[in-house]
Amino acid sequence: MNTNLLVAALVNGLMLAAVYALVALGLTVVFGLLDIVNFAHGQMILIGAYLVVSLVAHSLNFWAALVVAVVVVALVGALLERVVFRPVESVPINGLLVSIGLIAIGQNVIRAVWGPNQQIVPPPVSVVWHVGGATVPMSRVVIVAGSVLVLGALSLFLYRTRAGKALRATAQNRDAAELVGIPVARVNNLAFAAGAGLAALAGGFLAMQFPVEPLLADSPLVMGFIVLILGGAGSPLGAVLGAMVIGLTESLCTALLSSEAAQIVPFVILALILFVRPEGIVRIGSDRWV
Amino acid sequence: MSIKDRQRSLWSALGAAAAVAISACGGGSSTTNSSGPAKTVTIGASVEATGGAAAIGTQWRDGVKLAVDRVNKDGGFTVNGQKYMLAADIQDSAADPQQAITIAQGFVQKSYPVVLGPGVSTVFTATFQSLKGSDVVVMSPAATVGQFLTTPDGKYLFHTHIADDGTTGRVYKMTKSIVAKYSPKSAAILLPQDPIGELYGAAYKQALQASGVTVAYDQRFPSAQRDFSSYLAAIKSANPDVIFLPYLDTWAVPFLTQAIQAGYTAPVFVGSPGTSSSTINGKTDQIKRFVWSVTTRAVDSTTDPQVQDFRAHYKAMFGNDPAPSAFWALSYYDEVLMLPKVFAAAGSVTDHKSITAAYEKVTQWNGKTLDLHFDSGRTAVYTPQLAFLENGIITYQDAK
Repeated sequence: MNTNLLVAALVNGLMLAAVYALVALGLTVVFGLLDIVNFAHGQMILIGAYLVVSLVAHSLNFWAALVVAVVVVALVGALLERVVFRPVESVPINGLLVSIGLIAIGQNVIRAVWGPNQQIVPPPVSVVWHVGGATVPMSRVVIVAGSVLVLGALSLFLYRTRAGKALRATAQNRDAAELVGIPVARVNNLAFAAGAGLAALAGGFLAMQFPVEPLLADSPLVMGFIVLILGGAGSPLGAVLGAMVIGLTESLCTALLSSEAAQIVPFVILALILFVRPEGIVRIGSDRWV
Repeated sequence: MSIKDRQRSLWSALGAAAAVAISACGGGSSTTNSSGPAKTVTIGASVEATGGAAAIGTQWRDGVKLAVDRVNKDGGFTVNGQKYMLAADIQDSAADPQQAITIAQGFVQKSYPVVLGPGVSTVFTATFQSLKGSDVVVMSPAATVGQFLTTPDGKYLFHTHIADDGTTGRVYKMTKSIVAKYSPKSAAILLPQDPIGELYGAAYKQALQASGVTVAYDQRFPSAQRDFSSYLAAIKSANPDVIFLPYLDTWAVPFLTQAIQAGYTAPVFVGSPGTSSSTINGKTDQIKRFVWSVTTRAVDSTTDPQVQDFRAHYKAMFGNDPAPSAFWALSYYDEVLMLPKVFAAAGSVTDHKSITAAYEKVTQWNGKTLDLHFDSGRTAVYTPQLAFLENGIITYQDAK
């Protein structure tokens, strides 16, 4: 076996996993708390990416543009929760249907504002490392580091802050949370905003690496949902572990076997893991947030 | 009658005579030397102006608009003494087969004599199958048109791009030209999992093997793929001299970006038919050798005499020079410009059989851009063009 090729596949797999983890974390925050499978998450990823493109085109520094995009999309998420999802929260399936409607709206808004053509953001970092025959662009290392930081920050938030504890309490038992005085509506709003912000962050990182165009988020979104299920819906740690399984599998199969294998094997692994552990890699008990 | 009255009468008569003379000479469709006012012939155009193929579909739309405008600016056309102007009913299918079927059936109900598109292969296939039994002239650049041309339902169908497959097709000729220029020993092929990817892949392999070039890597990827780092690692391991890239900028641009990031710029990179000079924008310092086949003809060239008329007309209508990717506008442009001569030769603006026969005969028309004619199999024939980028300089060469 070609060692360089194996190393390259492993490194690429980790970088793929980082993107999937970011996407899945956003889905996890919303699903874990609100029981809403938000198919419009892909549009939020895209809007985040396009906002970064526009802001950088207006001479804003990439990192500042990323922060602004995250904040703006988080606010959009908060508004959507208040205006669109909260009225239908009593029936979760309605939230799913509403999110599908938001996809159509998002697609048309994106096309109207930014058009169908690719838009490219000059990467903020262009250094390249060589690791045992594999070439590792610094921009991808940034994505991996960013995902790790986000996971750490999310864990700190959930377990070390009052707001995070309130969020976990609401996810465990909404009625009990209301009874003890937790402002459930505000917590829901915060969760949706956080999920949207994470989507924008994923979008910004994708913009750093790939040309931004209307279909950019399609593949990461599908993989994000797979990772969400595989990792244990509602578990941030599960999302990261699931992302690593899927990312590494996909990369190793592409490099060492074939493209077809890369599309089939992750689903086979998903099926096998769910057969053995139907709740996903990370078992979710009464405490959803592990 | 007094002298003054007679003078008044005389001036009135002269004035009336002048008015009659002026109106007899003047423009306006209602007073030309044809029988009655000009009528309008409407053609249908189903384009993918939104959706996954919007970057191409908008060019197709613009090409149709440009050509119709050109025909009408030339004064329309006359068939059997009746003057006509041309109009186009342009509808957006959003690359959705179901929408495209509805649009096509609408065109048939409105009895449009000629229908353009759909242009995307998967959309075309679904649409054309729903038009079985409809006597309408259909023109499309879709790569899958070829499989319908010889069927009974395809007797009024035209393929507006030159054939891609076979040993006389574009891909084969392009590959032979590249092999002749660079003498590669091995090649890699990376294309999407779709009918065009399969068609191009088969043609590349055929041409390469006929030239004694080893195909060291040959894979298809899902169309949503944007991260090619794992594919690049595998290709690099195979060490080819030439790499044949996917046919849209959607894939080719991230592939080249990631190749540059990986420091892998030594091979000759070949953009499959569908890519353009925009694929290599901003990368000419790092990618030393890039070749692409211009699907129609490079309309961004300021020196090619064949495209200058198109460029001037494009700028007059849209306010800017055509972008490199505007070569897609030529997929329908000449076919619409041909219509005045086609209708005149057919002696009809409605009879599909005579319109079809006329399209095969007409070889000259106003504003002709491609050296185009249709062969007896109703496939476009024109000289394919290759573009070579070497050390930052682009040159065009006809592929023979």
